[in-house]
Amino acid sequence: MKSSYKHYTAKAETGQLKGCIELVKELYDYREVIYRLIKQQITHGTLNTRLGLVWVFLVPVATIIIMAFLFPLITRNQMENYVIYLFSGFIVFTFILNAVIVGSSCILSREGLLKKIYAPNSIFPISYVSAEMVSTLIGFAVFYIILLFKFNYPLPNLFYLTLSMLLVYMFCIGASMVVSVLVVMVRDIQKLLNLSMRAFFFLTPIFYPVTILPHKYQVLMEFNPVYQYVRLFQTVIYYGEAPALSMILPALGLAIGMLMLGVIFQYRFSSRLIYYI
Amino acid sequence: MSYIEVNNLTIRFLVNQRSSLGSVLFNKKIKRAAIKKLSLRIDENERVGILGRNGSGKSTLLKAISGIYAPHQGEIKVSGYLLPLLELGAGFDRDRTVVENIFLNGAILGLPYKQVKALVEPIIDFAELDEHRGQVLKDLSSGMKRRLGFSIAANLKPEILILDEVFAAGDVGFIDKAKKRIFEMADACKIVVIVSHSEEIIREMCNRVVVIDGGTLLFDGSVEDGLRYYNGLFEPSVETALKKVANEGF
Repeated sequence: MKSSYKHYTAKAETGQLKGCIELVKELYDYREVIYRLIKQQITHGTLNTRLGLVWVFLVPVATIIIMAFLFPLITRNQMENYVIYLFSGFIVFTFILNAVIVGSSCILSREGLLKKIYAPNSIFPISYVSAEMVSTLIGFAVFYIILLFKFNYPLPNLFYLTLSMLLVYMFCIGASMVVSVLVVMVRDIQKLLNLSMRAFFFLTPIFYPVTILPHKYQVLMEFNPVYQYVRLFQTVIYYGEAPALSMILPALGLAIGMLMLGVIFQYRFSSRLIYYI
Repeated sequence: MSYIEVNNLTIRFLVNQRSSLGSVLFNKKIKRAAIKKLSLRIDENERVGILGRNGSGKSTLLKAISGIYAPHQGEIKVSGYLLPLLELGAGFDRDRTVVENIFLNGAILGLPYKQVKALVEPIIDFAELDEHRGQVLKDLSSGMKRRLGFSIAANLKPEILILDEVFAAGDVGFIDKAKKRIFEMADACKIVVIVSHSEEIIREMCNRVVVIDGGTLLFDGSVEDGLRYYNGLFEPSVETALKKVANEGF
């Protein structure tokens, strides 16, 4: 049973920090709902299809095949095992892309529920990104099964892969919490996000190696948040190396910062959001 | 001890206003107060009927008490486990089965997993949906969906019950059953707040009536006085309507 005393006021009585802690506590109370929403989200796109859950596995397989055949044709790239390079960056980018683009409308699309019953807004970005995380993990699993058959390629260090996954997961939850609030307040932001993610796809070394850029642009790349995570995965999977501390720390800092920003945004605007939906 | 206390509550909505060519280019929103400085206290053993015309702010008040709308001014205090029944089946997923929806809805209403699990059979039983338990909601008739929504709500045990005209559920046989269950449920509750246009239901269930118009409290008192006051609200408008007819013809 939920706590039986509630006090709603026009201005928050508690401080910012205390309010954020309250929000996290409330999310813990709603863990059952979050779990249900994640479960729903994973199968969401496949419910009315004939193949059903098979699609969850079929999509990454098809993506890899398309990439393996098409990209080498259109890029004049002489990289060894180019498909593996491409995929290791692409799968992270897709994760971030979905968290930002689809995640941005995940509160807005729950209008019907939020106007009828109370639920903390942040359960929606959290459950959406978590479901995407599961899809991404399935994508990785499928990728490795193909690797084992097709290429003679070393498996990545599982510790660093998990760490990288965790970092990008934190970053995506934070990002999705921020944008899902912003989009409700100002719908125009959704259009801007769409455009900017398109730009990020080309600005991030995903289908080309960073080394083809002139040195001064390589330095600028450090300020590209998407690249921080893409590079982590490229290092672990494609180069098969342990990422240097200089790669982990910015990714970690960015993840923690984004997550905190997300919680602050959700806390600050949570009670006003319903009026904008 | 359970109570609801509303102090000096103001709620403003943002309304889209599109009237001229300019607003096609730049969408503007204006503020409209739905509740204006409303104060109300409801104590244990009170069954309050809220009356008011369409758009008077009744539903908004219920939603504010349920925690959906945060106050722009003033405060709301609620002590006791509150169950809002504002719309049957709020949060249903059309693409999920009956059982899956019971679990999701139960979780949103704040029940722990074990409790929901124990309630699945009584809920399906009461909704008479045993044959349909594996079907997705969009394949059910609207009556069946309402029955399911009602049954989930009817199997909970709140201390404070907030009702917004949810009686019209299912076929005639079910309405009687639903009514009976709602009365039982209300009897077990410490506080009931209900919005209804039906005098019969207000008379049967309430021991206090509140009349709201234009977001302010106009009347607060006994059931009979309240119903008389509420019906009086319509008289001036009938007069003006008659005058209009007399002046302009049909």
